[in-house]
Amino acid sequence: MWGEDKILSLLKDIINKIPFERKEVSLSINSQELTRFANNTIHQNVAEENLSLTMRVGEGKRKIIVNTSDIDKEKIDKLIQDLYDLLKAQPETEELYLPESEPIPEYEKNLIAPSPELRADLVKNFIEKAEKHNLDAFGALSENTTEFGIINSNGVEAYATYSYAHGKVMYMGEGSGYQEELGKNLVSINFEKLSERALQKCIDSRNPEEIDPGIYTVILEPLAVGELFEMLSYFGFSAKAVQEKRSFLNLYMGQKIFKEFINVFDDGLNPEGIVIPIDFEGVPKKRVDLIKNGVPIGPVYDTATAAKEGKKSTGHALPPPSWGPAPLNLFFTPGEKTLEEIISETEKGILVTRFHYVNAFLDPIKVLATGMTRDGTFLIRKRKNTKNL
Amino acid sequence: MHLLLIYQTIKKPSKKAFQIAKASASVNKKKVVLAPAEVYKTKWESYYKIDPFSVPFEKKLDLLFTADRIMREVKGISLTEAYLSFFKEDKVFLSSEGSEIEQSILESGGGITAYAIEGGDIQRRSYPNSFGGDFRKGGWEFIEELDLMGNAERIAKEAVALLSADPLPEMVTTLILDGTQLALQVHESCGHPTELDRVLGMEASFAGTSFLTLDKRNNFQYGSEIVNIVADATHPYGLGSFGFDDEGVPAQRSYLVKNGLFVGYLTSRETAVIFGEKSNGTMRADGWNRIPIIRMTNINLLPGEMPFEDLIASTDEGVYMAVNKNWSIDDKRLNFHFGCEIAYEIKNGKLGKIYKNPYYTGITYEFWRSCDAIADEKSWRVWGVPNCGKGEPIQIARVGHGVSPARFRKVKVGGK
Repeated sequence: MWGEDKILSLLKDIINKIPFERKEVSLSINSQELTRFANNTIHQNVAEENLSLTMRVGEGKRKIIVNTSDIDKEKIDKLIQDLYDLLKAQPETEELYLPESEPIPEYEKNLIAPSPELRADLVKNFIEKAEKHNLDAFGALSENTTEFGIINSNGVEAYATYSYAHGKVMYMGEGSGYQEELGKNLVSINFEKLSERALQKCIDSRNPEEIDPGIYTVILEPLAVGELFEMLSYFGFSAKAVQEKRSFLNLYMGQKIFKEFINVFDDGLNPEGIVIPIDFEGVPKKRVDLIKNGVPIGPVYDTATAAKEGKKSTGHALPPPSWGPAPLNLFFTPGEKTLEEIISETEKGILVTRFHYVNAFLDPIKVLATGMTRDGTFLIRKRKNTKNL
Repeated sequence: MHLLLIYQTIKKPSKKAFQIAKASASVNKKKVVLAPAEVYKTKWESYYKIDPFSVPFEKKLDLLFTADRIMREVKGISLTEAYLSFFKEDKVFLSSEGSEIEQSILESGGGITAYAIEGGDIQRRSYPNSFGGDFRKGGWEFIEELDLMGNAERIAKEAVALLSADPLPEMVTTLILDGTQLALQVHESCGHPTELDRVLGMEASFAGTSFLTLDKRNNFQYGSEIVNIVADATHPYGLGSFGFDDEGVPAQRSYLVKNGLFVGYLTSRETAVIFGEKSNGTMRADGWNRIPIIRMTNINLLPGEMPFEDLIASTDEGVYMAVNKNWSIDDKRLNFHFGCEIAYEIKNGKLGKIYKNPYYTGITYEFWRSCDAIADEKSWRVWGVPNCGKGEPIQIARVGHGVSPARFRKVKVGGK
């Protein structure tokens, strides 16, 4: 960890050397460790620390972005010199919009001290379970920490950190079962419950059967819902997509197209998710209702898209250069029934654990997604989860 | 760099590497065994004529903005994209076995896309390929060959025309794929399932496994007898070419599918050893901060004997699809669904009306077994795919696929 003082001090030194009217300098330092296991063996076990320095500058209707991982003083000075030529060569298109300073909300700082030993111990438990059932265990455990600072010519001076851990476990024999979860750290994830669930899915998925193509009631488990919503957010909930008329919001904004109980929001400060208090322009993250009582509302804004509509950024800028803002902290409000209750109400249907290779480029406006099911797809018959498909 | 500084720089990561190795060893019961490899002390450079980094920035911008303007001048175009991309990498490989290999790689690529949007319909056309264009080992001369400006008006007009085109009707018919879509078909349905680490389960919880299990080598009819697919890292301009892989194994050309029979995998030193063989050199990392894993090189479908024009002319009825738009394939690489930007009706040996939102679907080996014609060398070219994702943390590989258009019978197609 560099810490706030060191990062902001470096950024101040750099921004003071840049002569343009609008300028922004940011530094992001990321460390991640990951243990990967397959066939009851750890086969990849890695750690890295990397940094990324980005400068955005603008004059009139010209703007430019440069990025480097080399912060040697001479290299940065050369890069600043290059900015003149790069900016001069740009045709006039649109100005660089930068945010004004806003107070950063209080947030619980969560920093992980990564431990290869802890990851190895968890993997041992997964493998023991697999061996008891004559199965193989697969998956990955990762620990990630990022600190970043941003300074701009409008007075923004922001610094934040965030950490998260992620675990996935899969068992494979004649069939396969899979579960994954995100947490503040590895200890906060209930791996016992997670691995038991994956194991049971694997056991239940032996002797798969085929069914005829047709129209079925489908129950999507959270992982599958998440993958579909990732597509919805990527293609639809960006203000840039709306402004370019390529979002489903252009067709359905304000119309009730979902059931009353469908509520989706984005909230970077919600402690249930990965808390990131500011976006990559240094703007505090705001909670945004994307779908309320079945009505799409959205979208989310960064500074540039907000300026075009005379609005304020909602704090959803991605690292530059980006294709516009995006919601990164999606929450789907839970309903009132348990999964078991929903299954018990279903005479005939299909239960999907997760999807594979989902994308929606075929018709991005309607978010027509294609993908395949994997690792636990079951037929529900007579209100019970019965056969693996 | 001063020796003390070098020591300080490597001390922390060395300590961490040791800690990680110890943690792995506390779990693992088997030792890693590597297939033998020769020792090399050499240098390798990819070929190019004009260094793109020496071309003035203004010239690059002028090309992009001119192509962009031409597309925007077409009535009905709402959005445009134009890309140029240049990649330079210098690598040094040293091993405790004694190899010392230096490599210098230079790659160039570019492309343009025009979007026509009306109501709830969005149609796009890309040149020379979608998702950024085409890429290869080479310099600025490749960008000049692409002639982005010369194709800008055509693709823009096609995107607008697609708005009023009919969706492709659902049917089972003869399908001819252009080079760009066939490159992706090879990538997804031959390249990935022949990666031996996938076959052995090393990617099971993420990218998936493979239907080409070990028992199928030399024992499985992957395609029709005219289907010959090689992994060729020695191709002069293929994006997946190199001198040596990241285990220090030299670039090679080896058959994956020969006369339709599945005969080989993409291997590494750790995986080839299960066959008692040497690696065929496909281990690559996407940068200094990633470990090498098995990656495609240039996975090439060898050309047939029929000129492309004859391929169309000898087809009574069918569909010609071009340029990928959407892709899904299962974790074993068997069931697939691919969408393209445009389809043309084929009737009595001629291309006819265009259709929008075309897709085709199938099962990998049934599809390749239905291949009855592959166009000849004249239309054969290695297409670059710069965005192949695999591994955790994710690694993005730059790979190539040499193909010419090919024909497949009894394929299920449709349009939204």
